[in-house]
Amino acid sequence: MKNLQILIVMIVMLFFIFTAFTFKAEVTEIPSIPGDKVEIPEDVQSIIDNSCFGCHNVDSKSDDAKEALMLDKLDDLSKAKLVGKLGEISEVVKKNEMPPEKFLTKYPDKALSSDDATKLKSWADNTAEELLK
Amino acid sequence: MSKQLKIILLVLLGIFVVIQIIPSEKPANEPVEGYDFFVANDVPEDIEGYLRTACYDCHSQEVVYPWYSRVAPVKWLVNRDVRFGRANLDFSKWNGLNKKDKLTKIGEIGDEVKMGYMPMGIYILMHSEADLSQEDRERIVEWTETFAEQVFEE
Repeated sequence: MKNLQILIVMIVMLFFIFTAFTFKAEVTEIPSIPGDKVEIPEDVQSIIDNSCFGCHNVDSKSDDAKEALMLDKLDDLSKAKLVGKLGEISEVVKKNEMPPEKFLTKYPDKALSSDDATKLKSWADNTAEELLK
Repeated sequence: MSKQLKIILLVLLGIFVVIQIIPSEKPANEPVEGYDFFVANDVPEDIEGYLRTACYDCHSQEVVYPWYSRVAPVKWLVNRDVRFGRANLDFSKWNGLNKKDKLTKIGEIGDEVKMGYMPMGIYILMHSEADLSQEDRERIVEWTETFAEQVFEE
């Protein structure tokens, strides 16, 4: 019985250690810099700064977030890749996949309101369409 | 064999038999002529090979269902993965996408392959031929970049 108790305690401890190591996302409060190829209106910029930029920037601690999207490096992308990235932004916002649920449990104020989501999605869609003209 | 072990095995066998009755609809293959990715795109042979062996089994209307995909609980997983895979990207319906969506999907292919999310580990477990080496992955990512430019210029 005592062994079982020790085992349960160990499993719980391992779970916490594992969570601590896998959950690396931290929020950077530096605002992103608008570029030349992409125009970001102020209201969209503040949504991006609040909900996206903390992980999707060049100094992000999350390699996956950085690999998927670096909002301060959008201007370095070719137009073709940029359209793809904007399409991806639109898609993940539509599917409510970002910011990740796990991240929001720690930073609930970073969640996108439905108004934010609509604004961000239409900005991404319209900018992509403009680039394709 | 102890009596307890026999009982456990019998209960497991019972559960296995009973779960076979639970319905799970197999997503049918319904290709539409002229819409497949390889119909309109001139793709290098090695890339066609990668896409067919590592992607087409979930992301197309040419899914090959192995015998074990008819047995629960595996069939639930396979059916779910095919449904989900097709919803995200269906190579058999490629030509129905607009340019923006094509560029989005090409970008996603590059990201998923580069980050190692695709093909899924569980798929590779049963299909070792779909296991992409680092070199294969780099080649696919490089191709997505060239291909995106081609599509953009179309």
